[in-house]
Amino acid sequence: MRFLPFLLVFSPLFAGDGATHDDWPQHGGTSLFWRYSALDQINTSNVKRLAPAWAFQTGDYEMGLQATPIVSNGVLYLSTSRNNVYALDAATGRLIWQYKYPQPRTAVPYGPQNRGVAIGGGKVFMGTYDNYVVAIDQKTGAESWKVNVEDTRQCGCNITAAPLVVKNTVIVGGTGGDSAHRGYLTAFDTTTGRLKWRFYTIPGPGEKGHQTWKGDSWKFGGGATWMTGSYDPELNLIYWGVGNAASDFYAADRAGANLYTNSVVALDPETGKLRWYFQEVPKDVWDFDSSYECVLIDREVKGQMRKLLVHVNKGGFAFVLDRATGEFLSAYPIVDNYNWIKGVTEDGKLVGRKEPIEGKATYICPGAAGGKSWNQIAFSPRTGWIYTPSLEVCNDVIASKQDAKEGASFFGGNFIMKPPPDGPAHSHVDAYDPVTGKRQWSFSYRYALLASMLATAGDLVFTGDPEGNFFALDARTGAKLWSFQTGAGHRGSSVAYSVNGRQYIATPSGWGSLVSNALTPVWPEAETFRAGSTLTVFALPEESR
Amino acid sequence: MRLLLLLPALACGQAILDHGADVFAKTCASGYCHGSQGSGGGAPRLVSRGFDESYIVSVTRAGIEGTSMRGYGTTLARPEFNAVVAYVASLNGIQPRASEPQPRPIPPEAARGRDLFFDPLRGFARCSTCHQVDGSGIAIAPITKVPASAAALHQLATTQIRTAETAGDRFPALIVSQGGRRTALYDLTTLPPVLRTIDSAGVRISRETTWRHASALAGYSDNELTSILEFLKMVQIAP
Repeated sequence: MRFLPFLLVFSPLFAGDGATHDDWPQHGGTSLFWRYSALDQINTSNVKRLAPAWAFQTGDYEMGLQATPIVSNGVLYLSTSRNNVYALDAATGRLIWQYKYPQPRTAVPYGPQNRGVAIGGGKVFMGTYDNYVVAIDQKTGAESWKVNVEDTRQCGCNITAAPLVVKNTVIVGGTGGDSAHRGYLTAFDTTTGRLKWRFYTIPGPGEKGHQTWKGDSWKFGGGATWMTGSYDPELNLIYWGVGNAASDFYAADRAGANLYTNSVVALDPETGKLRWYFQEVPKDVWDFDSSYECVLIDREVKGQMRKLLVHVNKGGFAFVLDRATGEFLSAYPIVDNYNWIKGVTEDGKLVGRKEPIEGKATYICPGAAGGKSWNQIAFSPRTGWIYTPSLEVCNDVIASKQDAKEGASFFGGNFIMKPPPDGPAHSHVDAYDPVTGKRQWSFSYRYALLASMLATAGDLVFTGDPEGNFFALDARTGAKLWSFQTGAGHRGSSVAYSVNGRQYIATPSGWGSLVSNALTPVWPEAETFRAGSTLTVFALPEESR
Repeated sequence: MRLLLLLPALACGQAILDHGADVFAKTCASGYCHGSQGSGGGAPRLVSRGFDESYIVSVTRAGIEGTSMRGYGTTLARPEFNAVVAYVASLNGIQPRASEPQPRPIPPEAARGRDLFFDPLRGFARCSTCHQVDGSGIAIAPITKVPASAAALHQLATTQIRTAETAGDRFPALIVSQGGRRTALYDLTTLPPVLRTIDSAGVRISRETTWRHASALAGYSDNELTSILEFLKMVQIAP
C-alpha cells in the first residue's frame, strides 16, 4: 500500500486500517466504518466473566436509545432521541456536562430519533429532530453554533443520523424519503457553521442524470440521505448511501432510472462534487433504500488487491464495489426469502423484477422494513468476514397513484407486514466472506434483531435483542458465549473502548424507532418489547483481569 | 402546492367519507403510521377510540407536539382536510355532516407569491430561510411591515444589522443577545444564517455595515417580488 506523507499528519491510522483502539472516535468506529475494535482484553476465553461496570439512564424514553456513543480520551458522548447530549467519564459514568436541547413547539416528521453525534476540532456535532445542526463545545457543553437545514414543517424532513466530520467540514444527511421531498447532503464549516456546499441527490434541470426523471417528478422524488457516510482519507472521497425514490411504491409518474436514488455516491468532501455513483436499484418501487453504511475494506478479488466498498441495502442484497471507481464487482443476498428480483447479473443489473400492482396486494420479500434495517454490520480483519443482521419478513404492497404535496407523506400505496414463505417471521446474524458472499455461520433468532453488530479482536461479535438481552457470539463459529439482561430492547449500536488499560463494552438499550413500532402484525409479542434509554457498560471484574 | 384548491362542495355524506378514506389511505395509513383503515401500526389505532370531532380536528390541524404526528392544517387542501377528519370521525362512530364550509380563496398573484416565498427549488435562497410567515419558515428576522414595491424591498433599511469581529474574522451580524458573558448573534456571511454564541470578551460589535437586504433577494426578479408582496399583504404581519 502506498503512503502519502500528509496522511500521517491528518490521520492517526495508517491508510486501510479501520480498527479502533482506545477510543471510538467516529460513528462507524473509524471513517472506514468497520465497527471493529482492535482491543482483545475481553475475548472468547474470558467473556463469560463480563459484568456491568456502570450504567447511565438518560430519562429520554421516546423512540428508544438509537445512538452510537463516541469515545475520545476517556470521555464518552451520548445523544438521545430528543437531542440531549451527555459527556460522561468513560471509566465511571460520572456526568461531566449535559446539553439539553430546547424542544420544538411543533410536531416533527419521523418523530424524535437520534443515532449519534460526531466530534472534531474541539466540538461535538449533532443533527436535530427539528432539522438543525448544532455544534457544542467539547469541553464545556456550551452551544457554539446552530443552523437550520430546512423548515421541518414544510419539507417533511429532519435529521436522525450522526454527522460525518472530514477535516474542517461537517456533513449531514436527512430523512424525507417517504415524504414529497428532494434529498440532499449539506456541509458546514466546523468552526463557523457557515454553509460549504449542498449536494442534491436528484439532479436538477441541465444536470447530468436529470433525464432519468419524468416531468416534474424530480422535485419531490425522495433520495433521502438518512444514515451516516464513510470517508477514505487516502482517496479523499466520502461515500454515502442514498434512499428510496418517492412516491415509494408507485412509479408511473417518475418513469426512468431516478438517479441518484437507491445509489451509493462518492463525493469530494471539500466541494460536494460527485466523483462516481453506482445505482443498486433503478426505479425503486419497493421502498428499498440504499441508505445504509458503506464499509471500506481492502481485499483480494480474483487474485488482485482491490479497494472495496461493501454495502448492504434494504432489499437484502450486499453490493461490492471498487471504491476508487464505483465499478461493480459482486452482489449476493443476505436474506433467505427474496422475490422482488430473481438475482443480480455479473455486471450488476437486477433481473426478474416483481413490481407492486396498482390497487392490488402483491406479496413482496423482503418487506419495506428491509431485509436489513439501518442497524449496522461489522467487519473483522482477523476472520476476514462481515457480520450482518437480517430480517426474514415480507409484505403485501398495494400501490396507488398519489400526487406530490411538498412535505406530506408520499408512499404511493401501503404495505402490510407478512411472514415469509419459509415459516414464521424471524431474523438472523450471519458471517459472510465479504467478496464472495459465502456464508460461514448463521445465528437464528425468533424476533427482529434491530441492533448493530460490534466485532472485536477478542474474536467476539456483540449485539442485542428486543427482549433486552445483550450478548456475545464467537466470531468464528456463531456460538453464543455470554448474555446479559439489560431490561429494555436493543435498537442502538454498541462500542468498545479502553481507559487506563481496562477494556469496556458499552451498549445503548431502549426499544423504539419506526420499524420497531410497526412489528406487531408479524410479532404480536412486540407489544412486550420494552422502551427505555440506558447505556450499560461492561468490563471484566478488576480481580479477574 | 400550497394553493387551496376549491373542489365542488361535497354535499353527500358518503362521498365525503369515500374521499376521506382515499386521503387517509395516501397520507395516514402506512404501516409506520396508523395502518390500513386506522387499524394501527407504528402509530396508534384510530378505530373506536372514542375521539370527538373537535379533538380530531385539532390534532389533524396542529399535530401533537414532540411526536411524529405532524399537523396537516397547511399541507392538506381544505376539502381533503375536512374529508379525512370526517373519515376518522366515522371510525369513531360519528356521522358526517351534510356539507362543509369552504375557505375564502386566495387571489392568484398572492398564491404565486406564497409559492415563491417558500420555494424549495431555490434551496437557501428563498425568503423563508430567514422569515417566518403563517407559521412556516425560520423566524430569524421578523417582517414588521410590508414595503410598497419591489424597489422599496430592495432599498429596505436594515438598521439592526451590525458588523461583528471575532478571531480576525469580520462579518455582518444580527444580534440576538449581548451584554452578558456570551454574545449570541446570527452570522449573515452565507445563507442560511448561523446562530453563533461567542464569549463576549472575544467579539467586537460595530454599527457600520455594508450588508444590504438586496443581497438576499438576488434570486428573485422584480415581478416575482411584487407577487411576494401581494402575499405578505394578505397575511397578518405582527407589528
